[in-house]
Amino acid sequence: MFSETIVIQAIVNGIVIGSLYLLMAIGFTVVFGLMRIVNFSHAEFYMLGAFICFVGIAYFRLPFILVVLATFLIALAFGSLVELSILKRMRGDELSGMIATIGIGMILQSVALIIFGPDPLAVPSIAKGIIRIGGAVLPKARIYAGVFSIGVLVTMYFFFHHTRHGRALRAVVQDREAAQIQGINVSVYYPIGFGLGVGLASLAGALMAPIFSVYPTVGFGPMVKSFIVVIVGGLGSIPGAAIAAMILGISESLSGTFLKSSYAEMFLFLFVIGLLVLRPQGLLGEKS
Amino acid sequence: MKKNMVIPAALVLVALVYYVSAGNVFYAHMLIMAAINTVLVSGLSLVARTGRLSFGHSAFAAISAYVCAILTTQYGVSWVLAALCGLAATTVVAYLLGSVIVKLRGVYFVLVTFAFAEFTRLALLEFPETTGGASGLAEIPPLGIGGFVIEGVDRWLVFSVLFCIVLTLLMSRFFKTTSGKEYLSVNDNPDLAESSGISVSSVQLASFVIGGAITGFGGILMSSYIEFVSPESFNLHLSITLVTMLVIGGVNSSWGPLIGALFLTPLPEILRGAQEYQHLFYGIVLVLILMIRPQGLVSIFSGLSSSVGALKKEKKSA
Repeated sequence: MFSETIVIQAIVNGIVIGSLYLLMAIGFTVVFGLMRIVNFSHAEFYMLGAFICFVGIAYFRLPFILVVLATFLIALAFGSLVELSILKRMRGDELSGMIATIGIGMILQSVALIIFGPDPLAVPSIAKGIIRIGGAVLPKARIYAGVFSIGVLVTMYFFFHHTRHGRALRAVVQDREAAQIQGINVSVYYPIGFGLGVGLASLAGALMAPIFSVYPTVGFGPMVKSFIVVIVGGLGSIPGAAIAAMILGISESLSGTFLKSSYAEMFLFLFVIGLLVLRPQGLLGEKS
Repeated sequence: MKKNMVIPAALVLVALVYYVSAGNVFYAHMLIMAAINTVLVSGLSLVARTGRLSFGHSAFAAISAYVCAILTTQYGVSWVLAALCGLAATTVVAYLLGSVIVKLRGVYFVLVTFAFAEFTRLALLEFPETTGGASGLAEIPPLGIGGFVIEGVDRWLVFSVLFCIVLTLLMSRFFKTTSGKEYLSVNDNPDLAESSGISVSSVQLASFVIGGAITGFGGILMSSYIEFVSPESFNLHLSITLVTMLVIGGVNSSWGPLIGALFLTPLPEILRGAQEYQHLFYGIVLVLILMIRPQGLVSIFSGLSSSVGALKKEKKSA
C-alpha cells in the first residue's frame, strides 16, 4: 500500500518526532558542553516531564500550554537543585559525574515506579479532531506537539544568541577560562546549564506525553535516539543536529510505515557506526 | 601495596569460609555472581586504564556467550572448543570495531560503544532461527573441561572464585610490567607517551581487544552457570552496571573490579526486604559513594594501609 497521502502523513509525523529528538539532543549538548559528562539521567528527566504533563492534564485539568510551561520551570529548578546538591561536588571529575547521573536516573525512575506503577498511562487527548493537508489526515494533537516544539527551538535559538544569559552560557561552553576573564561568573552557569539541559528533556517528554503513553521507563528510547542525533549531527553543531534529528524522525516514521521496524532500527545503528568511520566529527561538526 | 591485596583477598576468604560453615546456597550464588561480574568488569577495566570508557562491553559478553551457546546446543561441539570459538569471534569483532573507533575522542567513543551494544541486542533479536530471538537459548550444557564437569553450586563456587582471584592477581601483576606501564602512561599523558615512542592508538586497540575477550569469557561463564542466554542477559543495562561497578570499586586500581563487583552484586538482594524501594536505595547508595568516595571503595583500603604504614614509620622514628 503505497500512496501519496500515507507518505505525507509519515513525513509530518517524522518531523514532529524529529523536533522532539532535537529538543532532547540540544539539552544533552548543553549539559555535555558545560560539564563534559554524558548525562544518563536525560531519559528520566524526559520521563519526569511526561509524568508532570500527565498529572497536570489528567488530575488538575490545566490547559496544555500551561502544563508545558510549568513542566519546563519545574525541571529547570529541580535540575539546578540536583546540580547544586550532588553534581557540584564532582565538577572536574567527569567519570564520577557521569556515574552519578546514572544513580540520579535510577532514583527518579524508582520514585516514578513507586508512585505510578509500571503500567502505561494514557494522557487525555489535548485536542480532538484532525487536520487535512492535501489528502493526508493528521490528528491535531500531533500537529500541536510539533508546533510547540518548533516554537521552543526558536525560543532557544533566541535565548542563546540574543540574551545576556544565553550568550554567557555559550561563552562558558566554548571556553571556560576566557569566559571568566570576561567577567562571567562561571560557577553560576553550572546549575543553570544543567537545569536548562534537563528542562529541555522534560519539555520533550511533556510534549510527547499526549501522543504516546507514559510509564517509568518511557525515556530510554528517546535518550538513545538523542545520542544518535548528537553523534550524527556532530556535537555542538545545532544545524547538524537539526538535520540529523529530521532525518532520524522521518526515516523512523517512514520505515515504521513500510518496513518491519526492528530491521530498520538495526540498520540505523549500523549506519551510525559506519558514518563515524567516515566522518568522526559528525555531519556538520567541525574538526578539533 | 601488599596490604592493598591482603585485605580484599581476606574478605573473599572470609566469605568463602562463611559459606562452608553455614552451607547457605544463597550466599554461594551471590559469591559466584560476584566472581563472574569481576571477570566481566576486569575486561572493562583494562580498557578504562588506557583512558577509554566503553559502554559496549555487554556486546562482547553477548557475542561470546551466544557463539558458545549456539555451538554447544545446536551442533554438539564440546564446551572447550565452543568457548574458544566464542572468544575468537569476540576478538575479531572487537578488533574490527576497535580499529575504526579507537581514534574517536572521549564522548564519541562512549556514544558509539553504547550504540554498538544496542545494535548487538537488536541483531540477536532479528535472527530467531539461530539465536532463539527474544526467548533466547536455554539448556546450555554445563562447563566441562575434558572429563571434568563443573556443575552445581559447590564446584562453581570454587572454580569462579579461584578464577576471579587469579585474574585479578594477573591484572595487578601486568600493570607492574613494562608493557603494563605503557598502558597506564597512555592514560596519564597521551602526548608524552606518544613522544616516548609508545603508539597510543595501538595500545588502546590492544587493550580494547584483550579487554573485550576477557569480558567475553565472563559472558561465557555467566551463560554456562545460568544455563540460559537471551538478548536481555547482555543488554545496555549490563554495560551500565559494569561501568558502575568499575567506578564504585575504583577505576585506577587493579582491585577495583573485584571490590566493585563484591559490593554491588549482592546489594539489590540485601535491599530485597523492601522490594519496591530496591532500586531507589541502590541509586541513593551509588550517589552517596560517589559523593563520599570519588576514588572508589578501593580508596578506603589504600587509605587504611597508608595510615598503617604511617603508624609504622612513626614507631620506627620514635
